[in-house]
Amino acid sequence: MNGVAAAVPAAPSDSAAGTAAATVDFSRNGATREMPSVDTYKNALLTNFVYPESQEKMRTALREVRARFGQKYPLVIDGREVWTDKLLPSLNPSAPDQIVGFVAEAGIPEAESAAKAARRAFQTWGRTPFEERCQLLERVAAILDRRRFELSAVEVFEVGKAWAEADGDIREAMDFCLFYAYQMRLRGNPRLTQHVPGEESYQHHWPRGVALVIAPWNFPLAILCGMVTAALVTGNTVIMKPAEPSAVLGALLMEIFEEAGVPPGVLNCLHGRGSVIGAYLVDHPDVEMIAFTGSREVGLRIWESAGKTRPGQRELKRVVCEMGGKNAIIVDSDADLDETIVDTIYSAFGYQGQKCSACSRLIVLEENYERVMQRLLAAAASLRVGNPEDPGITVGPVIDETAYRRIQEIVERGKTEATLAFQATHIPEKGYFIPPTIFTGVKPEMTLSQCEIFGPVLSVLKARDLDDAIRIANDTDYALTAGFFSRSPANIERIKAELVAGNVYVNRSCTGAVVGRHPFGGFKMSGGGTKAGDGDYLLNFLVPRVVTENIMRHGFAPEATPEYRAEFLWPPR
Amino acid sequence: MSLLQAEVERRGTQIFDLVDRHPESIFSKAGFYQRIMEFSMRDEYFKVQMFRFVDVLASLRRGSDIVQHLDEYFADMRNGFTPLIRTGVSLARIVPIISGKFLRWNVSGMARQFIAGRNPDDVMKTLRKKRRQGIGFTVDLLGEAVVSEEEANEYAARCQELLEHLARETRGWTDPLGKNSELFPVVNVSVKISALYSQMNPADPADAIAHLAPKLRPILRRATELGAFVNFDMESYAHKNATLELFRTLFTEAEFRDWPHAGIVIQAYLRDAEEDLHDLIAWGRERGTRFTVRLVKGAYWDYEKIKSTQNGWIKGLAAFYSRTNRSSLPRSVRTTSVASRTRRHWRKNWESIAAVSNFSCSTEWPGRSNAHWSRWVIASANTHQSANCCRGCRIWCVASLRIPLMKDSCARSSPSMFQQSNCCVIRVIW
Repeated sequence: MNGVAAAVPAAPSDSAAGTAAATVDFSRNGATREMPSVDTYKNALLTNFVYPESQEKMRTALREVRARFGQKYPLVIDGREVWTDKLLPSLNPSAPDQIVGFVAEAGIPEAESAAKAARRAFQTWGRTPFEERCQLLERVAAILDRRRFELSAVEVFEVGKAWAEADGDIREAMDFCLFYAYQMRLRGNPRLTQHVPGEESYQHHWPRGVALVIAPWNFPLAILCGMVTAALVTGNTVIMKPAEPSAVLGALLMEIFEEAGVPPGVLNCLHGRGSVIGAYLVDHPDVEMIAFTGSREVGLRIWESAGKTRPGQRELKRVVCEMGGKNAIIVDSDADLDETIVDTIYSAFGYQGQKCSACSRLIVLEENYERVMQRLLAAAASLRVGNPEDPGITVGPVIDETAYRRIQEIVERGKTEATLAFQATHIPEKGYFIPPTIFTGVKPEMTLSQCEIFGPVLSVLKARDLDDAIRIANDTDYALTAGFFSRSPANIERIKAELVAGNVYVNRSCTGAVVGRHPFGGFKMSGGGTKAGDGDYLLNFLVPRVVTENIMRHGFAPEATPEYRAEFLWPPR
Repeated sequence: MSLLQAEVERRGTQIFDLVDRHPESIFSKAGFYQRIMEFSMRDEYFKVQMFRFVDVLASLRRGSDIVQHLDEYFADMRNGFTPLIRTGVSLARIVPIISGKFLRWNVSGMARQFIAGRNPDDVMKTLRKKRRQGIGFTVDLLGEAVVSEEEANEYAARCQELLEHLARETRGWTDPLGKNSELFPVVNVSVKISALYSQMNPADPADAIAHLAPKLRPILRRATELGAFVNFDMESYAHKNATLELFRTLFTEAEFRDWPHAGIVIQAYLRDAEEDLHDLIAWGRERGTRFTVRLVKGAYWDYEKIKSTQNGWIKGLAAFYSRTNRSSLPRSVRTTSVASRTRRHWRKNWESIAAVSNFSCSTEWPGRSNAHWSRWVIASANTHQSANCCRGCRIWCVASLRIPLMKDSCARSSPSMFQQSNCCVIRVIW
């Protein structure tokens, strides 16, 4: 017997095929295959709260921010502060009697003047070299870094985020600034299409014009900042409308952009009701594109409305539309349960399940079901629910009263169709606290399996085998994130191919995408297939152009073809 | 009937063919194991697959699952291991019942190469054997991650049980070297702090201490009564400060202030290590009672390195000494330790031990020839004997008790881990 002899791979008999296949060994499942990433971007740092200094800074920031509760923030249009006769309060969801701040509410006249200001400013901003725009973003990132504890503290109060979650949001906002600047530098110059003698052909991009940014409250700085910076760095001017429950954070971001030196009119900030000013601006002929992240209901309305051509409109409106999910995690029969439980709990209940990436369906293979559930329920019961001002809190309040009532209703309705396996009981009396909730005996067709809840509610479904599990996982309107826990190489490969989601995570939580590392976004009813935190994302904010010149005169052409040329800047119209 | 006869004969021939070709691999544990080691030394990819396979093995209950995983992990190997696996797998498929058993026996034989003991009697057997060689013990309670308070309470109960069991089993034992027994209690247990509270949050050490202290007090109280030694294990960086603070808090309390058999771990690769030692020593002087610091190197290094790189902490907030920079740390530590009369336990691999050789010496794990797989050595040195490299030096065999709570490795969960075989495993960490 000699097994070692077989260690030497047989020499390829066909030499041509042999050389082609020599460099890549596909049999090795990626363990040694070399696929170097071209992205050398280094992400912004997270705060490490293990350091007493970090804890102290955060506590100080919380005190300071609390001391200025009730401050008023204006609209910003064309570089000027604008006050209206109406003020909108923004509440602390952990203690709704506390008003974090007030913002001026914009109506149609303010929306109109913002559109005009953005249109005017585009004449010059569209012609600004991209390097200048990149540097604006980098200055914003530096200010975000300087003010990160203060901003984190505002997030704790205004949207009920736990410390680390709030810090993660600031870090992501910084990453968007730095990453899009990095990507713009890679893409800013015109690119020679092909080297042919006698002709020069360059492809490059122009900005689209005025972008309307409508942002959600769940990542109040990151997503808002991501959409705004992508639009700005590509040369568009922006009207941003932060979500109502996180209006103060929106106003602070505006402040930061002004400090960084954004020219008047290039970024305008409107607060108010989406159904009024949002709808007005979506239809506005001076708005060339809409970047939206939020609910499916609003997203589809924008998509439809933007499709209608209005008098005076110049462009077909481009819509970047990112919506919800009904994300599933599948637990294989050989999964490492330590990791499965910890990561599932985090995916489902981190930030109270109010992430679009949150896990709301857990699909467990029958064979493993009892063991998984025993540990899962005990783990959920151990979570600390409370006011996230307290550093050890994992689960805080949901965003506002509307959400609170809506989720409560869903839970009540859920009790009639499935089994309420767990619901935490020790929760604060005051504030919009929904206890972590787990339903079992859930069937794929039930409301609990189909409707996005956006709260700390997890539905557990039992699957016969992996086929069944995959079928259940894919059986929704959405395709945002999905997760899989397994130690079977074959099953992992299968899942990678078959789970229908924009972001598939294996053996880790299905939330917490990092800019550049995990370009984020889904398809089906989760979005239009755009990826935030991806270099290509910038293309959504640009129109491509190709300029070709015949450089041959009477049969004579220069021999050398230039490799590089400066921008073809957008011309003022 | 004749058809069946033919089929049986055909299969029989196949089996004998396979056995003829690979007799050792199928029916000899030694041959099988030898080849695995051989391959894993040579082949990084194989090592990864092997590690992952052993990791999943504990949770596989059916023979067919083991066969399936073997196939998936090793079928595409471009080395001599593939035919072995192929043979085993095809054998199992031809005669599922009989050869499945052979394969499982073979695989569990392989697993035993990685796991030193499978039940409490094995543990005691190992400890007795080591003792005959003049080797004492410390028992680490590893366990799986504790994800809930239910599991944390169970872990606390296991700690108590373990203490009782070890105390009972070692009654009458004296120090294996016959000296300094007041410094080295026979029963020596390491407690994994994060396993006592499932909601430890690095941002909130006060909360962690408030939950951990009440769970540790009864354990410490019992250890005091039994004359045992309790060591606070150190885990990931996220829990380091809370663990240190907890240690100081508990052992400043009147009840434990004079108890000399408490110890804590400092991870020598941390940039904070030196400062943490200074703090501990200052605290220890004030307390006025001896305690032990066990210096370890490498335990969580890979984990920390990966996590820090992912979070971008390796550059900005680098918390680590370079692993290759061996000279600076021992020197500083030496100074502080001598000054404070704190005993030091060096837990090192060979290279590191060489770097601090005037304080400690070590012996390779007896009975294990492969240094790569058994580099885990604890050497403990007595300050007063530091001039003589080998006098007073103790080799500690690390017997890590893998505690099955109610999960993976123990489908048959038992009321007491000491009453049923297969429910606790001594695991050699490599």
